Amino acid sequence: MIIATTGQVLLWCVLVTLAAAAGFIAYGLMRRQAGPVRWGITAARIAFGLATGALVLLAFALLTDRFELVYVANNSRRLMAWPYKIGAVWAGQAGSLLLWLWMLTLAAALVSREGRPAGSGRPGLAVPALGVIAVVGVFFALLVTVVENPFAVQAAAPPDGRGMNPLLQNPSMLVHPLLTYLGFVGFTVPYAFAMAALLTRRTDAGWLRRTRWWALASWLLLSTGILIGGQWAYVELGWGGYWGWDPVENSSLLPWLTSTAFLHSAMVEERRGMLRLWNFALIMGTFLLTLFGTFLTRSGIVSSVHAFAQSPIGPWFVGFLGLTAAASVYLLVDRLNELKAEPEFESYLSREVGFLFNNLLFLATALAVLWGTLFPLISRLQGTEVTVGAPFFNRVAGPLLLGVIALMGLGPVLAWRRSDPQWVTRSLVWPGLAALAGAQILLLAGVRRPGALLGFALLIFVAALTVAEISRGVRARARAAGEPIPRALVRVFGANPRRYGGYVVHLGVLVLAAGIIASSTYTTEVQAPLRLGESVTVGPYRVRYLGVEQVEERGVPTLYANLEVRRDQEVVAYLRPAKTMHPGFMETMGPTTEVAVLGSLERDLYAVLAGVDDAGITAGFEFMSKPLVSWIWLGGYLIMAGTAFSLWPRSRRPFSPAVEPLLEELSDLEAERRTGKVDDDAYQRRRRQLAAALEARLARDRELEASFEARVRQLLEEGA
Amino acid sequence: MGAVVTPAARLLPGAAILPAVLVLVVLVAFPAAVAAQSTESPGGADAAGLEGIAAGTHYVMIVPDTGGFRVAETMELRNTSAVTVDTLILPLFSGSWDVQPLAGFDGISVNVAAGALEVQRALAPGEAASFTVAYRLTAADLPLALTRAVAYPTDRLVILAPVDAPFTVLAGGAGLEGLGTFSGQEVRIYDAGAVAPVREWVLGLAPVGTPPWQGADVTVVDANRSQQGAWRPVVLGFALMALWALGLQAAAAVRLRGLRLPRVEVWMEAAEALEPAERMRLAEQVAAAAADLERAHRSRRLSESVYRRQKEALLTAWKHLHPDGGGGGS
Repeated sequence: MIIATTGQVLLWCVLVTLAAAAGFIAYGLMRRQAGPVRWGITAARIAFGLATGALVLLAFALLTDRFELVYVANNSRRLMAWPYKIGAVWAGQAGSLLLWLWMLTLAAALVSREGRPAGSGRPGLAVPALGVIAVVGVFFALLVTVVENPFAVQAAAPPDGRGMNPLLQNPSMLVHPLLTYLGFVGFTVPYAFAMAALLTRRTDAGWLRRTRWWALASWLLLSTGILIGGQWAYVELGWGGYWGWDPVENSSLLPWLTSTAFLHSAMVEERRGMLRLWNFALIMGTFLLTLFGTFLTRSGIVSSVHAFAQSPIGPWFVGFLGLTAAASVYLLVDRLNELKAEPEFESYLSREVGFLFNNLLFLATALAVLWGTLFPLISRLQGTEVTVGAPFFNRVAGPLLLGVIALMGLGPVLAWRRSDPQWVTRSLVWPGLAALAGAQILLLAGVRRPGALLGFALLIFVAALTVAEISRGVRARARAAGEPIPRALVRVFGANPRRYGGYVVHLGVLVLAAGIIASSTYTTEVQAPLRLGESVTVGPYRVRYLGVEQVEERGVPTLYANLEVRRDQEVVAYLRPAKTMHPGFMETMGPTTEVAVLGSLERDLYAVLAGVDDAGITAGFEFMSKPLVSWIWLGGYLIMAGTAFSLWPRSRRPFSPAVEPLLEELSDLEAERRTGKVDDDAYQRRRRQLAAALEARLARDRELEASFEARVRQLLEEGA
Repeated sequence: MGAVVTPAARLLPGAAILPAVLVLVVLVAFPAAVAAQSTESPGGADAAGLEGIAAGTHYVMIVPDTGGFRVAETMELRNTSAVTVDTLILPLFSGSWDVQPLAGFDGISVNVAAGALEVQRALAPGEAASFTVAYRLTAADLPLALTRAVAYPTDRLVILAPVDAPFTVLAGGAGLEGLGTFSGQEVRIYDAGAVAPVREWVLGLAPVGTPPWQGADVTVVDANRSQQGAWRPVVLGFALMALWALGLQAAAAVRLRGLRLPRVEVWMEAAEALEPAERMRLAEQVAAAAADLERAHRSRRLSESVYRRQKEALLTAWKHLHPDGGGGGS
């Protein structure tokens, strides 16, 4: 009982301290008083401590089987493995909302450190942004205290709990929700800075630079979360797929699409000061879509294997979503005049135009997915529910995403401002030839389906463009610095991790896309009842049924079917797909399928045990031979690696934040010149402009440095 | 000849044990040089559900042999109808060959066809007759499923296997009843209970002993257990992430507080939102910290790199606190 009481008190304290943080910060900023702002910051940090306490307490209650808590009784049981008991913290509605709240307070605590002296970017945004995060935190704190309280108690504690949903008892589920929530919550920070920028009318690109790390890190976490969610679906749901265009899957894809667009368009604003309104709208859309996704997952309005049970939080989310959207749109409209003034495109053949088209495609995909996701709900309101299945999404989103991939290859070839058309044409020639040759080889290898052939040709084309772009940079560096190629490669990557990390991400996307195309077009499926000793051919494998074995693992009866797998007469593996009979879920869910997958770079052999007769002589199986599925995960890891490389901290240059963008642009201009993307005239003209701007900035920097040194000297003399 | 020694085996009617003993004896003395007769297709398809005949206890003894098994069956059939039945069908396991009608067939025409013995034996109403037949089965590796028809309603189907046979018997409802000793040899007794006529009755033989995947030098994908084994990388991953985060925090703390410099207020970055007097107070705080740093550096109390980092941090703070500094729109 003491746990429940302490938990309740902690949650109410979090609510009060976050409300205090928001109130103090707002008051302090309006009155231009440092004291209230300082209290607000302290309150936000205290809220983090309190939320951490509540989260740890819930984990402790789960680990120590405190079934007097309704949440513990519904999501854990005595014999459950301890990692799953910890995972149960976010397996249920109330716990996951508490985790969300904790992450928000963590973000607030981190943002409260943003003003450290070593901080970069335009000053003056972290405090109002902290206020915005605190407001969002108040909403989530209200949810966990008033609506879905994880510390709610029941009159009589049952002797044992029901346990976690068997489908969630998978190692991936320990990580997938955590990463997805971190991604969702992470986007609160760029959103809060955007709102802070609008509120304080500091609408230049400062907020973007300030939140570049947050946006990229959140995108990485969300992408990884989605990837691991796909892996979970692949091995746990037993239908052989990794993405089913389920409403809940879509709800995580939507903010991913808009945030990917945002990451690209942010570069345009940072470099050219363009797309300012667009970037504000994108980050707002991303944040609102994270709320929308949460609403969709938790309100119970859609049926999905991923969704939580029906819950009263739906109206709360709708209300908060409406208020947030209204406030965001109001601010955006109110500052419209300030946002409109921006430079114009100099040429259609420029990188910024490439980014714009990339954004339009991402947005079109997001809108199509949103429409497909919402249509069943809309049709339900009209009286007849219409289901929108995978074919719709594949038909609509597939071509759009192929367009994105095409632009992914073309974008890096283009220079900022204006590209030399002849140079662009020349640079497309050999990748085009490589694509044709690749398509010919694939045709000879038996890839006959036109869609797959075109898709692979496009991937080869884009891969060749990307590799050529990296190669140009490396060769230019090797020439200019007289370095051997390997060293030049390392230096080029180290000098511009953002750009080259991005190229690694692009290559990862291509590998992933190859896996998707191959596995969705060339999967062989065999449904076979097998008797003891009988075999069936699945792709290049011969699978033989050896019998069943029934065991009890942690109180869960489990039936394994043993399969021998041969390839070219040789035994290459034994697969043991299983059915588990989780006591608390047999009535509602029946036995749970546990898939066995023999993975390799070439193909996966996917085995599902459908059922067994009483004696275990005959068992029903579903087998799939799925080519290149591993490439999807491999591509995902490459995406992660590339993004992590982009995020890798670089030694900070001793320049003021205002100087850094100019230096970056100068560095890009030099790289474009060396690789031949810009002609001499354009290069000289732009270089002169940049040098002048840089000189002015550096002069001001020098003045400040001099005044600093003078004041320090004075203090030293006074002290002496 | 034999004695049932286990309680389970004692449950079997004593009279029914005798034919089983006979079967065993027949198998032990199985004549090798007999013309092979092979029946390839699963027999008895037409025999299933023949009316008027019922079987009592039906024993099937399966003994491992080179390249397959030796099987002996003994059964008692009785005519439960009011008319004489002229032809009896004795189904065998699919793939049987070298069929030997051993007992009960004297002076009777026997035809081996379609996986069954067709016996021209007139059975008057109420009359019973016992038959014993032996044959071979060619089989590949265990496990395997043997199929056959069951022609008549059978009171009890009992499968016997040598106690050291490398297989266990699986059949619908069949369980190991216990051990019995027959003719000095221990056998396992599996009782499948009553069996109704059926076109295809399946008997599974699953290997016993160490599963082939244990110790095998190939991949074993265990759907459930392999996922449990995945704890280690997941936990290790978390631990590494936590260590990394802690390390970063520790490094940041060392950088900022290495010399116990007064910490610059975090909200000073909102300098433009502050009153000028407040801003100047903070700027003075920064300058004072820089002076402390300088003194510490001169007295060699800190390393060159720490000094440079901290000074750079304070300089950045100074720039932030001045209008137009630090990218403040100048």
